[in-house]
Amino acid sequence: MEKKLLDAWDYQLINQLSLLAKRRVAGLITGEQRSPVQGGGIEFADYREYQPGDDVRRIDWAVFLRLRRLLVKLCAEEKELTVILILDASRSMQFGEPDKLWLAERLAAILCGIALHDGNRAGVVAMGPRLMELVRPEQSRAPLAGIVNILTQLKPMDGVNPDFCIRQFASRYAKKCMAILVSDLLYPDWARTIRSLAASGCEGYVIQVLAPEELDPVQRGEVTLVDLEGWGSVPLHIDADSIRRYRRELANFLDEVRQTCHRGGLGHTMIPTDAPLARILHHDLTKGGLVC
Amino acid sequence: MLSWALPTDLWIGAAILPVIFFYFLRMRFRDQPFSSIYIWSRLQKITRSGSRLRWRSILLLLLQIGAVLAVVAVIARPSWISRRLTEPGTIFLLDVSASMAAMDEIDADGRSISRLEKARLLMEQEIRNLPPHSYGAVFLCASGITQLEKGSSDHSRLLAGLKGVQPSGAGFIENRVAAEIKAWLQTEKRPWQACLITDGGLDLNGRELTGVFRGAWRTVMVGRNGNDLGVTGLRLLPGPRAQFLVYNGKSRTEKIKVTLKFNEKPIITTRLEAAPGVTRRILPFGGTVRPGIYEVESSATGDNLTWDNSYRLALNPQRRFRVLLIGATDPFLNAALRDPRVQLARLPQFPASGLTGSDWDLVVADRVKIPAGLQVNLLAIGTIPEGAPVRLGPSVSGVLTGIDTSHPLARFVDWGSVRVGGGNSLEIASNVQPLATVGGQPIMAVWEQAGYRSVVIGTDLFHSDLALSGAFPVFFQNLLLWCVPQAANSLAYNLTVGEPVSISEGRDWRFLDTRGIRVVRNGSMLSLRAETTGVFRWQSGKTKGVLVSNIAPSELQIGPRILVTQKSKVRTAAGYEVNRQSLADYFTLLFLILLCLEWICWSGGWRMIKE
Repeated sequence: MEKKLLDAWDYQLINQLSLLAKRRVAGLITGEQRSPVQGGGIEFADYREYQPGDDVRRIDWAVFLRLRRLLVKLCAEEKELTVILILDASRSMQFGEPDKLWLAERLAAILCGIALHDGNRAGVVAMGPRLMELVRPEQSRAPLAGIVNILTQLKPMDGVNPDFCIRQFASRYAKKCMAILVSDLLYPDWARTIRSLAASGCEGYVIQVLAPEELDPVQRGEVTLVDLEGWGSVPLHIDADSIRRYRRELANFLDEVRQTCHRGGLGHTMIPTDAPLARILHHDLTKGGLVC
Repeated sequence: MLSWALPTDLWIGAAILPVIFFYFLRMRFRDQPFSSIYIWSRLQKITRSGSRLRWRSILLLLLQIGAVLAVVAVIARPSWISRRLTEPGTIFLLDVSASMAAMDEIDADGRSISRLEKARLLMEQEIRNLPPHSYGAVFLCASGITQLEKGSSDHSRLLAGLKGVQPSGAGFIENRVAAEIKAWLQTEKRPWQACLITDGGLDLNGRELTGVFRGAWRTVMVGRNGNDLGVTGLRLLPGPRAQFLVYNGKSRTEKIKVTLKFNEKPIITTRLEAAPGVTRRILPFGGTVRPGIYEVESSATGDNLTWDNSYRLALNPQRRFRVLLIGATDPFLNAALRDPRVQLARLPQFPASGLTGSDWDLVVADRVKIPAGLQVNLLAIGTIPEGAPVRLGPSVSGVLTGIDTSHPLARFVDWGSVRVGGGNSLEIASNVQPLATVGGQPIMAVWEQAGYRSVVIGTDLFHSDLALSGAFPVFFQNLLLWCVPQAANSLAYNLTVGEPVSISEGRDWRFLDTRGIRVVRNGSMLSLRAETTGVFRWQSGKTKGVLVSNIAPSELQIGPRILVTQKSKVRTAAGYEVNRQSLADYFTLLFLILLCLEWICWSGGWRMIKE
């Protein structure tokens, strides 16, 4: 029997949470998210010096009386937010119990659900040999059930080219959306992928999904580890010492990812696949500033 | 040169084949799918070592093979043999037999000295003439050897050892001397040549010693003449008459006075003429022969050897066999034991408190349960002692067949066609000797344990024709004499100095004074060896007796004799000293090291060591 991607509790999570966009949202359709276009909205954003041509109704006379300066009150215009979930569909995501891709699909479904619930748009793309648009944002007014159905059919692929996919993504959605990358980033070019995403101009967030076996390998003795993505194999004699070294190297890796994301202005959260989804959303992603 | 004590055990080395087989059989480097090897590949140190893992695996195999080979080497007992050229040492053999006490030598000052003193002076000269740092050893030889000094290059020690050497009173028993010298040579690594200083009293004329030293020995003779007059070989004949031998080493007939004494009191004195050489004399005397010490004494003049002027003969009351018969009355056993020399006692069964009272020469257990730990000579008929190295086997019947053996119990015993109607065969241990079989299965066996002798018969006298056979009394007599050997030897209490005699006596048998005689007890058997001539009184309960020791009769002949080898034409060449160094401990150590390396390599400890 095929497992259901979302259950009743997940729908409750969708109702409880909202996406938290750090930048103002660009777009044509007014929504519930703030837009970088200032002036049209009602929520105060900033002041600036009056310039000829400005609407005199926006001059803050109270400030003029105190400071004798003409300052125009700027208000953020609430626009519709477009959220794009970028799923890593590489073979390595099929690892763990439950596998990382399954968790990524569930996260994507819930985050799409939150976006839709808030009156925004949501789209889902997958990183394969090329960018695969599973759910286009303009079509996402469709019911969540349709998105869930599409996500359920997503299978891992060979020959995934993350960097190419992100560049494709940037050419299509740059500065227009909020991008949430869900990946394990366990490939050599992960930094380039993050930098490409940061350079795309959109507000980005990286959710790094790792299996418990990757965080704390259980293999011992003489093994040949075969890379699921076809990066080759490595014969190892795994003992307590090498496990200790692995953990240290993994911590370094996660730190590097975090710093790279930070430098690119991207949020980052690492979540293990065995963590409860409610905890991920309520704690990890809330702490990371993705949802509130 | 590497040598193996047990080279056939090297076949165990084939054990490396299974090791290699299982090495290739075992699962190595199983493939384990993993999401990504990216993190592992970032660990360059580990992944670089991964390429070395295959070499490590081969190293593990080599260590295992090495460990197996080390164990095989330990089992095969390796040793390293090295040879080193060594100069031969010189063994000085000093004859200290009784004849060396003859006073027929003179020293440099013209004083009369004994042959032994002369021999000692000659030996000192020989030792001084040794090349510096050459090895020497000094042995006193008579009925055996006594080493005065270990092999040493310190000649002063050899000379010091010669001080105070006395004649032993024993004869020169060349066979025993040669055997003991040979055993000593076996323990020596260097080659040895010998120098014997003797008056020629070797009973085998030097043939045995020639064989021991392969001709590389020489003799230095002492003794100027055979001017000896002595008596020896006293025996009592019916009559009563005393028979003795007179030895006259002079070239003319000598007149001597001979006195026969009983317990040191003269019985009869006579004068007789002793012709040159050995003459037998018979001297009748009045009265009856009684237990005590008879002694023949000569008053010789101009004699070189004074202590052969008397010869003693000990006569003790007749020894009776103390036999205890335990079991129901058996007419056959009664008939076999009906002998005036047998002092018989009976018991229906073994007392619960054990055997007490007299020391029994033989306990006959006829179909009764025999307790364990008996310290007696035992004949068990139709029963087995508890804890014996013999068990009763299946029932057998048929003709009894004696086993051809030189065992004393089988002497003159011919079982003929004795039939065994019923009985049990015997299952015997390796230290038990079968004497007779029925249908190929042992039914009569004998063994010795802790100095006590036991005989077991698997049948009894009612279910066999044993007692009806003429061989049975002979067998019984053999058994009694085997248990009490002095009963068959009328001269058992007359010793020759240096020559051991075995007798069987109870635990309360003892000498009143043990000076001059050595006693070793093993169970009921006593080994006696006199070190000097003399009289030794013994006591057993209320019974008293005597034991005497005399010098060997051959020692009376002190005339110069020609030995096989007087001057050796063979010289011992410098030989190879063979050093055998056992390598077993080293291979054991190697095995342990290999095991440690194996463990370190297998557990990754090598990395820890590296850090």
